Amino acid sequence: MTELLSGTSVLVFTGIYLAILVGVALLATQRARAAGVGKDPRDEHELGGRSLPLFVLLGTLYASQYSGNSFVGFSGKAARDGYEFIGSVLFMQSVIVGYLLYAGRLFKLSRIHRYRTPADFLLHRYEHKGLHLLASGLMIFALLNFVLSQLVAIGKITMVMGQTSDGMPLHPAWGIVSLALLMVLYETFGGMRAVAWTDMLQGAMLLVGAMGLFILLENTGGGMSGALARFRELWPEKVSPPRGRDLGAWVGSIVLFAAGAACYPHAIQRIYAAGSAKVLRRSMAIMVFMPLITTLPLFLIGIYAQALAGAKVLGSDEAMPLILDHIAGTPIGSVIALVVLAGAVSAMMSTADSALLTTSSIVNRDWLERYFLPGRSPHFYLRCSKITSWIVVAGIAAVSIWSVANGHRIWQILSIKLEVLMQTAPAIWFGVRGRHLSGQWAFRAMLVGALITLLGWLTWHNTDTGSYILYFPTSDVPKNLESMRTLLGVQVGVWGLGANLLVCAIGSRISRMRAAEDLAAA
Amino acid sequence: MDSDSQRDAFPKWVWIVIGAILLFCTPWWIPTGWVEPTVWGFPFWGLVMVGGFAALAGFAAWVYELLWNDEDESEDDPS
Repeated sequence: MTELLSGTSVLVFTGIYLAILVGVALLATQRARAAGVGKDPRDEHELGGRSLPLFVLLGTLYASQYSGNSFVGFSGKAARDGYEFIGSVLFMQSVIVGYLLYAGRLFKLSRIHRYRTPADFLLHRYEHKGLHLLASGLMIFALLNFVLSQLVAIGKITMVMGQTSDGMPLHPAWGIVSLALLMVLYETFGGMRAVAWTDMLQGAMLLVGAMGLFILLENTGGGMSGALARFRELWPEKVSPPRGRDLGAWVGSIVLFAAGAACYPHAIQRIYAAGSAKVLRRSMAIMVFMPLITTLPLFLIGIYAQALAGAKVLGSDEAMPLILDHIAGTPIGSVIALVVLAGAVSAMMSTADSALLTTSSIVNRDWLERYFLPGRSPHFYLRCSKITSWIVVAGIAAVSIWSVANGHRIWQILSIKLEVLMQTAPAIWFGVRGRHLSGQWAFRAMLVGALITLLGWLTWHNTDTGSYILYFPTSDVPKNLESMRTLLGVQVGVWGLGANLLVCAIGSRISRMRAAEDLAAA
Repeated sequence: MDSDSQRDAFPKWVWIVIGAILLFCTPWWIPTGWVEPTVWGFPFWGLVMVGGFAALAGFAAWVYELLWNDEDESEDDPS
């Protein structure tokens, strides 16, 4: 792969791709300026003037939902786990099913009350500052984690792909700084419109990369069916349906994605940004099919890679490089490999830029405007929002470079993001459907869910002594420690969500009974 | 908000059908021997799952298209 990636063709291809990206961002910026005249500049910057048309909304929803991890990691996990990972298609579909619970109603409310962030809605609905601060805090934690994990992935890919003139791996700072700079620049000038338009292009690269690679493999050697047959011979135990704890993980993942990924704060902002309800529902109706043409091919590519590797067990990030190496021998293969790499980087950038914009939006709308610097002009907050983006990018880029260059594993604990984020879901679900649940009970419920999740992630069982300890893993975990992150195979965040929902239901019931009593007394 | 939100809610049977499809798409009920026959190198149970995923996509898209209430949408559709 080194030969493929160090050639002039890579530089030319990357240059053309980035130039097109900049061109699209500039166009979007011009459009944003024209559309923003005479309107609240924050609406234009953070939500694209609430007027995203179908293909832009679809492109940005698609690109921000599929991160770099889904592109590289899905095939790696399919290679390692075998056919039980076919569930990943269903998990990605669960996200769109999850939107059925609240998206339509929240869109309508956002048009009436002009919400700009997810926590905006929670504050309006529950009028509870504790809940507002807790929810926005959990969202910021998850969003920073999104940006960090994407920049770390960009750093890793820079080290694997790039080479200096003396044949040494390129320092991760090159990739991280240049792409982070590009993202924050187009976001500063064009806001949501630039992010969404570039997402559309990045989403197209992702889709073309995944489909192109799949079609090429189907027409290479024995084709996909030959590889699948070889996988069956080599790894018969990985062809059977999941059982026991693996089934628990399957069920847990459906809930995790339907509640957690469907409540991504940057996805909720895209609901607000939709041009109309029709645009939103049509985007969702198309999105539910996307896992069948993205996740399923990536899953099969992973199986193909493991068949290619033979008896050697592939690491989670080895499957895609092996496949690219395999196809790079022919001219068409080289082109597809380049598109796949661009698709992977696109997936990382599109997730990071969306999360970045939403982070600065929450910091400004939910924290500065409401608590720390209230009563200033919209232009002041817009400037704050842009400055926030630069500060966040600078800080996270520095941490990413440090951790990739030194091989630190600080992001291990940060993979908790989805399980933490899903604790905000019940307040949103109950919030759009009725007025019975009070802010106090919604706050208690979210806190209980978040604490259970956090404790589960930090608690380890010492198999030698039988004791339980709180432990933050910064290096390799000792063999006598067993994580408590799952119970019966189901992720602890899902148990936290169960407790969260239970508290919400109890709170709602109590509020309803009190309201009935008050009515009777009156 | 209550009466309005009830008007926007999907009928209960929609959730029952989605629950049934999700139950079908979770392979607890699949016998271990359903690896054979293979189709295009794909184990039979995997193919059954993909069929279930396609059914879920079709049903969810249908719900979005036909049951989503956007009657009082007053703004122009930019698409």
